Amino acid sequence: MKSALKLLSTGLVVLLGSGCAMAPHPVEPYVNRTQEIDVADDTLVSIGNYELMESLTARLKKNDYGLEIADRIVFRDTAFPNGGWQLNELLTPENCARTISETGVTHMALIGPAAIEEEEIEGYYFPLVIGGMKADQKLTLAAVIYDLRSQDIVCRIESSAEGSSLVAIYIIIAVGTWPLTESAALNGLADEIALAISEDMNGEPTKIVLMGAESPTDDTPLTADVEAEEFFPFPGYDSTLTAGLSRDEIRARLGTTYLFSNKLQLDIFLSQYAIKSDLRTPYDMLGYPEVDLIIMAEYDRDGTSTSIAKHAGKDFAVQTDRYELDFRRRIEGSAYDSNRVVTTLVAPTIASMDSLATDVSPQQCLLVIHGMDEYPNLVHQGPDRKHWWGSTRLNWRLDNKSLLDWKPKYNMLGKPTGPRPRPNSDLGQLFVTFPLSKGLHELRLEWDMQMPDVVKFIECAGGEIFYVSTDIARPHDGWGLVPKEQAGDVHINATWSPTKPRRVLMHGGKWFDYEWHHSMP
Amino acid sequence: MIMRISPLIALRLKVRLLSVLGLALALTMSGCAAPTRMYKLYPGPELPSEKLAILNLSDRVDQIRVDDITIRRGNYSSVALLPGTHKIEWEAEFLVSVMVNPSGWDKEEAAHIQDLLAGHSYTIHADRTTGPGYDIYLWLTDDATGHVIAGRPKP
Repeated sequence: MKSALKLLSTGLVVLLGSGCAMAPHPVEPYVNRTQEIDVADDTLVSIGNYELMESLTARLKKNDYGLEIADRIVFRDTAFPNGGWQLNELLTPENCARTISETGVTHMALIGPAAIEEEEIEGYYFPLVIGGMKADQKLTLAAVIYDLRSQDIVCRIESSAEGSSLVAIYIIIAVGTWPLTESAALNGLADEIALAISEDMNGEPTKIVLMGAESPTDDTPLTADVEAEEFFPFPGYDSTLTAGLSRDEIRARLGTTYLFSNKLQLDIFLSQYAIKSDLRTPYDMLGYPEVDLIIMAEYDRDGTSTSIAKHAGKDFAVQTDRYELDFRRRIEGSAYDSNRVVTTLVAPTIASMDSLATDVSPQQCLLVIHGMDEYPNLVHQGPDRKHWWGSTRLNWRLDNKSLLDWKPKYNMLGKPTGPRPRPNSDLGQLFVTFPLSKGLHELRLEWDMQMPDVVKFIECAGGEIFYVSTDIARPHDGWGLVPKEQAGDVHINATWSPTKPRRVLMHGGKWFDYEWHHSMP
Repeated sequence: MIMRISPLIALRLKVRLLSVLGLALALTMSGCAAPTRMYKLYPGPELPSEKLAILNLSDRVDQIRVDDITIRRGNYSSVALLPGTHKIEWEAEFLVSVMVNPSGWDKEEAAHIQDLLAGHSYTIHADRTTGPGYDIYLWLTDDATGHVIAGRPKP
């Protein structure tokens, strides 16, 4: 007993001594040069985020890379004597020659805003008593280096760092660690900038300037696609659709009476555009052999949701609505051509809904969950700011097995970080299918926030498809105005039997017949 | 999904975590002096103040965009502009009750095309009310006259 008390008192002394210490812990940056960083056409050149620029400058000077760092304001005022700050105006041969002669700067590193990925805080605690918390953070910086002499891009660099904050609380004492993600990413970027310029100049002393990149239409003028690459599970497939095809040509290739071809024949050439990390969870599910995934985008008759993107110097058209968060910056300023290629389909395993039906074994059923692409729409707020529609987390459970655990990663306000997706756009339907054995199954949709769980029972007799949709984000009259009693309604439309095949037509604007969708018994 | 948010917001996330842990007080006490730098947002040589319009950022304004250039209060406290018409956007974010917003944060944005006069100094404000009728107010005043020239002032 005495020893226990002694141990306890010693522990308390140690804890008290530690106070509210928050120890930083270093993390390693991941730095790579990638062609996947695009510069928006409407990019403005600014003097940038002061602290970021000063930190980069300090790092470059400290490591004595043989680089002279020019004053940002002097450079900007020389390069843009009339203001405007348009990158395109700077990068003309005449303007560059004049700027070089007046400032001596031959290379410009254009630094994009920091991109920060925050995970939810995890852990348990009783306020001010005891507990532990953790939050993951990933910070990414991107830079594009220009040789002003040729107006060419020397290289595109991305530097990111990832780490966790850990906090433990003992009575009134907290101890924890902060990851030094910012300084790690920043140092990695600075070092790579220096290396790239040194390579370009064969180690000769060079005068450079660090400038900020801004976009009138977005806060992320430099965009990196490594996320999509990382999570895209089908490397090596070539597109059969190329940029510049007309809609008719695309339709001729894809056909009009089926949705997808087999085995990615229907192209993933814009995978990095069409499939963003909103859909990461379904992608992860591809790791499970029993899961099939079909992701589709659509053609838009009036072209309002079709836009042009630039990638690797080529024009592509992409959907902008559902995946607009990362696309929009690419398309602003591009010439709009509604006849260009519309984005892509991914069909890893299933040829079409028709063949899906015929593929169902009489010994089993299929559960098809549709509409996950709508989930980002679930998080929004009523105009009075007092009513909260939707959920911040969704999970489908089939027989108590988790199928999809979806969490939005919008900003801290729970709002999209970019322009709001339009409702009723019917874009990018997402189907995920699961095999069902014969018998009774429980399907549960779990939410947090204000919605109770939705539980449905499915009786599989064999050879049936159970089609499930969450008709949540279908407001009639605008974004965020879904009546609460309608929000969260779950339709389970069963018995899409092979004996009664339904042809799914691509009616220009829709992948499947909405009427059909609702009229199923 | 890459969520692109400003370093300021990232900092707030950290602060939020700390606040959850009861350490906000310690952070507050540690202090965080606002910078007094002025962002020169006009081309050419330095001009005297009587030939410029100055935009000041009040404490509760997180960031502004002037003519599509972003200026964060963590970096600058004011912006020097040539007189004339400018597009001014600003936003403020507040810690709120989860009854107001389940995230615990609420944000409001404002955008105005404003004619700014030479020799005048302006202040961009943001504030909120609490309790029933909670709202966020964003407004712009002419410092010389005290008049609200844009936005909706806090009652």
